[in-house]
Amino acid sequence: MMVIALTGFLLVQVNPPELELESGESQRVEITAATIMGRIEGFELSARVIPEERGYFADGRFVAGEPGPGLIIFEVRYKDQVGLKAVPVRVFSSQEGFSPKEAVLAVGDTLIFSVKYGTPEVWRVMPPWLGTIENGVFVAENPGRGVITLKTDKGFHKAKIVVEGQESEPADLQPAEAVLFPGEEITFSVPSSGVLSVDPPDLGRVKGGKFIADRPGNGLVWASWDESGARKTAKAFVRVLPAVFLKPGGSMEIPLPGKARMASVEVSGKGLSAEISSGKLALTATGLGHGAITIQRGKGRNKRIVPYIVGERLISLGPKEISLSPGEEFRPQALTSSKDKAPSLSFVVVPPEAGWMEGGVFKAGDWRGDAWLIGVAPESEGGSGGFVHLIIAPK
Amino acid sequence: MSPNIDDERIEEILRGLPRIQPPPGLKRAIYAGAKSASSRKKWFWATLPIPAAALAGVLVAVLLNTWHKRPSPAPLPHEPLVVAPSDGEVLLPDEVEFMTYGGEGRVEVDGIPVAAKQQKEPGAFIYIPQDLEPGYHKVVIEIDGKKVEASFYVEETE
Repeated sequence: MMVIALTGFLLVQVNPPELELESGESQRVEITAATIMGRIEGFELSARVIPEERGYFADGRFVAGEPGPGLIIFEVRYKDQVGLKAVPVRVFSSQEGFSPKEAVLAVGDTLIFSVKYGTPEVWRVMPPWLGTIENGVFVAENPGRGVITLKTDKGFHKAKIVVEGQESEPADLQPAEAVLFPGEEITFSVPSSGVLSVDPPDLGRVKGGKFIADRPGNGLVWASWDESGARKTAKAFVRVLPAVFLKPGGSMEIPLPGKARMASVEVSGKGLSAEISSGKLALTATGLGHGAITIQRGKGRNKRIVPYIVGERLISLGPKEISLSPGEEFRPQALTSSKDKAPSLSFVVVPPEAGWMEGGVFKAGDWRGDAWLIGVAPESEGGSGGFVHLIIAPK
Repeated sequence: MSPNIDDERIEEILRGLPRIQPPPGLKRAIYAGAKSASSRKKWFWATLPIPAAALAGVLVAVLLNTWHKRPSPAPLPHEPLVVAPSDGEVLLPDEVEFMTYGGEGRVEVDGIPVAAKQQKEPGAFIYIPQDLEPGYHKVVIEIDGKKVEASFYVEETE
């Protein structure tokens, strides 16, 4: 598709309108210009690349530099007129030694991917329903388009794949995004024939049109169904917030990313014990209580705070998540059905520097980052409670 | 009549009159008044350069402003542009960058705002989220009414 930019009285056309290259590759770029009277020749052309490390433009070609997003700004001058066109550029790391780089296959076909340099560590199929891959052997399961990625100890490789067949049509899933706490569930609007799946699979369970969150983390809930003879596929983004609710005696395991596996863990508050083992944060509820779990690697940086409640019942607070600027305030409220008696909650701010509660209203302090409000009922009433995720940033 | 003849005549008249001392403090009051008038006059001349310099400054500013506002090429219009990972892309943590052109956009990753770094080129901004954990993430970029959304996967590096 050609993109035309009207700048003053000069029309500037750039072909291709977007560039995707590997580091070190080059691509010819055609620039044409026209006034309202027609195409012009002999114009002055200058090009600049932003940021500079993304590459350079010379002799009609863009030469890719360091990986990342960038722009080429083409400036065309003709007599006293000026035209400007910005072209998006994405530079990827070199894929040398990885093959095949592109493949077209049918459902049921098998394809072997190989890498010349480095030891393969993680193979991935995206979207995951396209097929499976193990030790570089890809088996196509459903028609569609996607990528195979491989992370080795020396680099990161990608290949485009197309699985031929009657491709499913993209559809909408409602809600398109959901924010939950572990233990909460959400119902998606899918036809009765619809099938849900979740990636990563240990993020939660699916049951009919419902997703039940098991552990903190982000993921995609995929839905597919048949409609008027066509296959439909839709997805929703789910965020299971890193807050832990357990009943007394309950336990939970949260997989940790590589960096955090070497971290130390500390619990401030009562009713919970925590340890890191086998790359997982293992939590055990020993009695009623609430507080914060601090996971820290080294000093200062990479510090994560996870609030927790050990109680009889997780109470939904509204809003679940709120963005505030320092000095702004809001009133957290327990979301209970009309027949339930509203619990009397006391609130704790984690970390305390993030703000304070006054008369049932939270006021954000001079703080930047994410923080938590923990609302808990008295232990004599079962210690039930809920969380609000606070995102505090100057506007 | 010359001034000397006048002085002599005045002295002659005064000689015929009884000598009376002026009221107490009159001489001092007359001296003080005369001194004050003299000092006001000096202050006026001493401070005259200040308004003159200020006036000159204002004139220079007006001239510079006029010079700057000479007809110059109009700012070059451009459509807002977003450079971001495509939906479903798999990236390493240090590959996660977004870019807007045409002004500073609002960029949120998983609901958390990402600060912009302005580039040398006017209207160009780069956004690099900090400490992204491995796994799925969602970016929403809004600029001048244009909204781009993408979910992407960050591969673990260790």
